[in-house]
Amino acid sequence: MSARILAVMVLSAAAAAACESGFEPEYLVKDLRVLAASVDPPELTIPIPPEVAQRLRERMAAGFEGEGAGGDMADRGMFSPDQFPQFSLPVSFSVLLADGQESTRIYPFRLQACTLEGSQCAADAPAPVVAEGTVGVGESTVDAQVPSDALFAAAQADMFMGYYGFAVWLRGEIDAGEAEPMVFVKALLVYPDFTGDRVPNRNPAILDILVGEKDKEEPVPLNAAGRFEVKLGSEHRVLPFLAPEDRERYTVVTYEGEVLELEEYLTVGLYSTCGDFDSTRASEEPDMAFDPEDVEKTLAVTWTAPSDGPAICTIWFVVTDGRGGEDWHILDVDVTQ
Amino acid sequence: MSSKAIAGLAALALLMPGAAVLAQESGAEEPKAPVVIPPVLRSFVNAVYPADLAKEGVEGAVFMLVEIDDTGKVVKVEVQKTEGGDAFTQPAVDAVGQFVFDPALVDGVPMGVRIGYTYRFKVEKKEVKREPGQVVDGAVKEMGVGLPVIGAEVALMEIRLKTTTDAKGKFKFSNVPPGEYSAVVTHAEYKRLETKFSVQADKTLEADLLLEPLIENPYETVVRGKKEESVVTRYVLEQRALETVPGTFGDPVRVIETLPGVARSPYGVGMLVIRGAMPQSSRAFIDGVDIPLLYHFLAGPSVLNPNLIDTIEYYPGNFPVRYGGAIAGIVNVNPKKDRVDGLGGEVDINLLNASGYVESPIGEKGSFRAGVRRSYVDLVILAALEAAGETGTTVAPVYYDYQADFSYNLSDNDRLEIFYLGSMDSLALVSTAEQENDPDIDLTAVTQFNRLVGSWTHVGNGWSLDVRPYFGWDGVTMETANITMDGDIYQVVSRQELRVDLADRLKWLLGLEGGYGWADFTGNIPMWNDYYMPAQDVVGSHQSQVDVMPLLLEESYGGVSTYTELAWTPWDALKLIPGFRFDLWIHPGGTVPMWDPRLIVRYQVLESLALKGGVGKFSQAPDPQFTDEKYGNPDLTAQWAMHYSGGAEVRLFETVDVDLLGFYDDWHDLTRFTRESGQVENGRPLLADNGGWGRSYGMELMVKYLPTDYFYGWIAYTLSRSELAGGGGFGGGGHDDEDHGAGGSSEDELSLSPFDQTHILSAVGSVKLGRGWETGLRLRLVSGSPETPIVGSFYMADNQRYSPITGARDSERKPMFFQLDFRVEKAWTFETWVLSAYLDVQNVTNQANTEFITWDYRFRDSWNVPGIPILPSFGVNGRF
Repeated sequence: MSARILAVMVLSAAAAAACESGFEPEYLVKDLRVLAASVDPPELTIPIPPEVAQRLRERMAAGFEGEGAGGDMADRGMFSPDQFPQFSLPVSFSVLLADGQESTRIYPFRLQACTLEGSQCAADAPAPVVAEGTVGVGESTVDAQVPSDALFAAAQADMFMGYYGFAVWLRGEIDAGEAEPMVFVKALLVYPDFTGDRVPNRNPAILDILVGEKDKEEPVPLNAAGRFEVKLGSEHRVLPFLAPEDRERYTVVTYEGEVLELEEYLTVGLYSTCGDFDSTRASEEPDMAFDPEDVEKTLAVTWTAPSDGPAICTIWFVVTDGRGGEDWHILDVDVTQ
Repeated sequence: MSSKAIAGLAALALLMPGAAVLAQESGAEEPKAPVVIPPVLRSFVNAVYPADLAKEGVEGAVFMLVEIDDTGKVVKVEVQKTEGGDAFTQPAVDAVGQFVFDPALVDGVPMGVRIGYTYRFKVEKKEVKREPGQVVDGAVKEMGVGLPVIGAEVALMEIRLKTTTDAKGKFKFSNVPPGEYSAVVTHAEYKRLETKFSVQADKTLEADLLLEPLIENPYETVVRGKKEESVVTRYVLEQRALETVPGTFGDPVRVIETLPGVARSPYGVGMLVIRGAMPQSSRAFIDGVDIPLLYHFLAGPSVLNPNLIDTIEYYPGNFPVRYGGAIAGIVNVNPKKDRVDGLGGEVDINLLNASGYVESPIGEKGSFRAGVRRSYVDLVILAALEAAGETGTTVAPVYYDYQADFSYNLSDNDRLEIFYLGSMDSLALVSTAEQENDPDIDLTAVTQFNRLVGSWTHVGNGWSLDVRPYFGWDGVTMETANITMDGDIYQVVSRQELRVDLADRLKWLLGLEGGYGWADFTGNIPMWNDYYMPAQDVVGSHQSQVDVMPLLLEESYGGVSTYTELAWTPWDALKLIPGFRFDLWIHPGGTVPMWDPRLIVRYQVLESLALKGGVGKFSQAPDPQFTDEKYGNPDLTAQWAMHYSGGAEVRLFETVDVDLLGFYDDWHDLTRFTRESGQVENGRPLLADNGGWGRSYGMELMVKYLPTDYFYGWIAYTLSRSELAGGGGFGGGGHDDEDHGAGGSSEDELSLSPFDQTHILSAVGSVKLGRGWETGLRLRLVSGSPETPIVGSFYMADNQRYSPITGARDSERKPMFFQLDFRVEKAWTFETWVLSAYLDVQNVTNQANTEFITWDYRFRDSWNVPGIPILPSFGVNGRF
């Protein structure tokens, strides 16, 4: 146990030192970046015939054994190719690109559905291209079809062969003209529906953003251009509002077969082209998550307007629900003398 | 009949070119001449009265011309005439040749002169009516520290009685007639002492004499003996070297870092990394009692006051059967066992901590020693921050330790001892005024341990028995933003060792140890969820794999060990030591048996050359968190290693010891966390297994100049390679495997251990300059630890983080580590105490050694996090 505390000490010392590194904060957007990606729906369910469901339950009760990849699922009583749904699942894929410079460029874009190994699709599994096209700064949306062979391969690669659900990774590449493309990944979760009554996850939605001057009650009003207007160097509290029902409750099954009901963690990431946040980024810790019913616990972040201006700062809010659900909101703020 | 030589100064003549002659008796008128002061006899030496002539009562005189230089030293004696017999001549010349004068002065300037001198031998004819003799009882001790001076000669000049101090520095004259005597005390390592004894009738004279050392040496005498022969390699460090190595701030245990086989740990944290193995693969002991921490946090000193330390044993491998529970190396700190002779103590105050120590005899048979230390480096750091005008928060260690030892000789063959040791370490957040109460920073970490050790040793005729029960309590508290843990571990252990000389060339050791412990932990800590969320096992994606949950752990465990060893010397040059150890570890989920046969061979080829070798099995039970049902796997088996080593010890020129050793350590069944490896067992992810393995091999060289009163030093060099296989996650400290995706790396694939350091060079030297000055340097040159390069990154949209894309594993290294440390000390020796002031500077050249490489959030920019900068510590030490 003392060795662990020693390790904590070493890391603390390193972290304290790293604070002096002078790296740019993560929230500051100065060049082209992928800020978010969402899939609609974020979760797919596969209906399982009752006899298959029964066999799987018996197999699990007997003690499922296996390793993450490979093996004949039919032998193990899991899905076999002919039992696996022979259809491709349609999804709507969106990506949020940000650029600190004003940019109207468009970039070639490609999306694959695959089993992930590191940053690459596994070489020994199907990795079909499910969407191609171009994207630009801001939000871009494409329709994609996830074929069944990619679903089947992903289920096979899962630790439990998909019994508790599995992830199909959507791997995107954006060619920004650099030596290497920008790569991002997004999980599309697939759940076998044994009982026929599973409620799939959905994406949360940011309803509104409030900007208030720090220590004042009244929010900052919108100006004639429909944007928040603040003074140079002023401090403001920014508060994203989400619909209360977006904090969904869902069930999981433990290894003992017990059904647990859980609640989503909603976290918000913040990014801007100028100004400073007092938190480096949104945390995934539960007590930092947004709770519309408890404003005191809400991720109330202070944003300080830049001192040089006038300027228009763009602020992005990206909310994730911890289960693949994602949404964002873009805000332009006028910073005046 | 006694005789007594009487010498007198008969005439004095000055023979100086151009100088007027001073004729004090003639009264001649003196012209205007320089003022001349004749030489004055300062140190008289008795001549040896020729025995035959003394017996016959013959008296005599020797007339000499004595030439004295301008320092008062006699440089030439020329005999003019001898009366009474030629036998008087040489003794007179010998004695006068040793006279010391205050030199003659001419107008205040010392000048060489030649004088006439007559040495007369007179026999005391009168019968001395002697009173009944008295006893002169005394002790000779070293000035300052009060250590007994053994083998000092004490002489009563007038009666020509001499004696020598014993092992306790004591001397005794019996039947000394009352009177005034000139006593002279001499010893090769001390300045000559001349004093007066006044012996009175009907009264014993007790005389305590203090000798001033020629070279101030407040330390115990360095024993230069042959190395212990029952092990392959055991490096033993003597106390003087333990306390004055530069860069160690006077801490003996830190000196281990300069020995072969010990890898450097980042920030001098003090993890025991031996031959590149994980820190938890080695163990530390104090007098054979297991301790969890050898050093205080963040480059702090060891947990035991240096004054309590006798020697430190360090075994890089092939350690003897009396040590178990480790597959790499052992460090055992031996406290002092000798009886305290007198009241003594020490106070040390430096930039980082203050300590105190006291020792005292208790009656004729008992001894008591106690020490305490407290740090204040957190205050120093805060002051430094504020002085530099910095704002911010950092972490600083706070520590203290305390020890007490009581021993008592029940009889000549029985010794009882009670020893208590306690230590506490914590982290303090040090914030300047502007940063106080920062809600973003919340960290508490405290660890402490206590040991109460009893010991009874009985020495019989050709055998000895040592019984050692002890009680231990370890506590840990950790608190961050939402994680808390508070726990205690108690243990009761007893160890018995029987040693028997079965025959002249056959010695036998039998040991038995048993213990019982229980752990009690509460809090809220991250634990693996009891359910599965897809995509967790890949790259730690959107939903956390762990959740903070209430912890309630109450667990008992136990162990039994037995070991035996034969030391057989079939002929003088050859020694064979076969041994066997059995351990049984009992935990709530099962038992772990371990069997360890070992063999050591030593062959003394020549007096100055010995060959040695060893082979053995070394087992270690899995750590409790690995066998815990919630965190680990109760079905784990023991980790084990095979050690093979062979080498030679050579003594060169009677002053240099060279120790060269080649080794190969093979590690098997290493425990590792496997939650992220994708393995499933009994319907749930396998949390831990014995799937790790590895090896370490290389060469260790130690060239040591045997300590003298003036100098000690050594060069230690290790060339080695250590490798691990099995995908990482070893003991919670192995390298991460995130670049290898869902299944982890191949189990057949060896990669460098995170503690692999190909070259480790340490050079230490310290020299006494005289007049209380000592200075030294320590140099360390160490290969950087392995580094897997980061060649890019990709963005994980589900948790809004970038993940690195790595290149070939361990294909690069951090820059080489270089550090030069310096120490200088000045000691002032007073009659009953010694005052020292010292300056100990780590990293004199302020080398910015890289300890970690940190990256920006998307792995485009990196920064080499430097280690400890130049770190001086000034201290004052008072010792009596």
